[in-house]
Amino acid sequence: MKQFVAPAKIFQDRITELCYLGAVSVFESGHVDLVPLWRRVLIGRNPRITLLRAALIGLVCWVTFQHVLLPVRISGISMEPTLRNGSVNLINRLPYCWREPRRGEIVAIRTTGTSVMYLKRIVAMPNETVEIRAGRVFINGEPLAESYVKNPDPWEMPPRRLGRNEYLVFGDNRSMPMELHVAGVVRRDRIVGKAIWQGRPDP
Amino acid sequence: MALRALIPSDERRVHALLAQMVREINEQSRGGTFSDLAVANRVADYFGPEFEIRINATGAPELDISDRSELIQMLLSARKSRRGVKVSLLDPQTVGISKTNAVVEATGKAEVSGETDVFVSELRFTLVKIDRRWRIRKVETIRTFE
Repeated sequence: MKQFVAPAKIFQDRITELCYLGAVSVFESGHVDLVPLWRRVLIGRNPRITLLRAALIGLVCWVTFQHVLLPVRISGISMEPTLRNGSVNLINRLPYCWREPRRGEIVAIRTTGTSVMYLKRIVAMPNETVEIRAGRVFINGEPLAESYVKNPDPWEMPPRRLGRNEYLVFGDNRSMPMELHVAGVVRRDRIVGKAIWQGRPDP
Repeated sequence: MALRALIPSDERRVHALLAQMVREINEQSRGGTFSDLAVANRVADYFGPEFEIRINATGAPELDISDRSELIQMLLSARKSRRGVKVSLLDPQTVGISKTNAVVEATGKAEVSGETDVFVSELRFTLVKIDRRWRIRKVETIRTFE
């Protein structure tokens, strides 16, 4: 005796089988999604929307990492022991959009562009008189407490009054002679942003 | 757009000239004196008949050259002694340009393989147009920190 199976039953069995294989999805409403699971995971149900979403994420990443948070790899020992040679940091350009840099902050200083930047710590602010005696920094005649500087070389610098837009920056590693240390007075327009990781606090 | 690609502006020509010069400097030495001499001559051709190079960067040897033979000698000795030096010229900015003169500022970076320190110096290139070709007249250091 022949068994007749209704076409709807065959279709239902086939869908159930495909559901097990992850090729299709059946929703509670009875709607059958014929897009295979792997494709839904990789490309999404609607490739156009996925493409648009990817483009948007790409744009956000590009704007963020080109104009707001600049990734940098530290090369050199001038900021040791606070920032290690070869470590990675991010330069945040936003803080200085609405406020001026402050003393003690580690900032990035641009060259002709931002492909190569110097990371230095702000030691003296505009309109201040700065002097260095035996490796000790004096601001307007008062000694500056710098716990981040270890084993400083006895640097000497005669008193100098900074201009309206000038900042004095130094690296934390002052164990070398002053002539070999790349640092000094920079104009405000050269300061790009503040380093996100300002180093470890003192023990 | 197509016209711009076909007929590049003086600014683009100047930037391309500097980039080409850096490529020549970075060309790997084949070990032969003649090939090194050829490269040194090609690099020297980027400079005009009268030129001066004054580079004084912290931590790097001072350069003061104003003679073609002196420049070739320096390039030859650098090619012989160097162990994988990579020179790059980053972020070129045209400060001023006219029909016969151009001033470009760029960040020069030299990396020696095996060494952690990188020599960085901001450089100002003054170029002049001689016989419809741009030539370097002067290279000097700009001080980032005063």
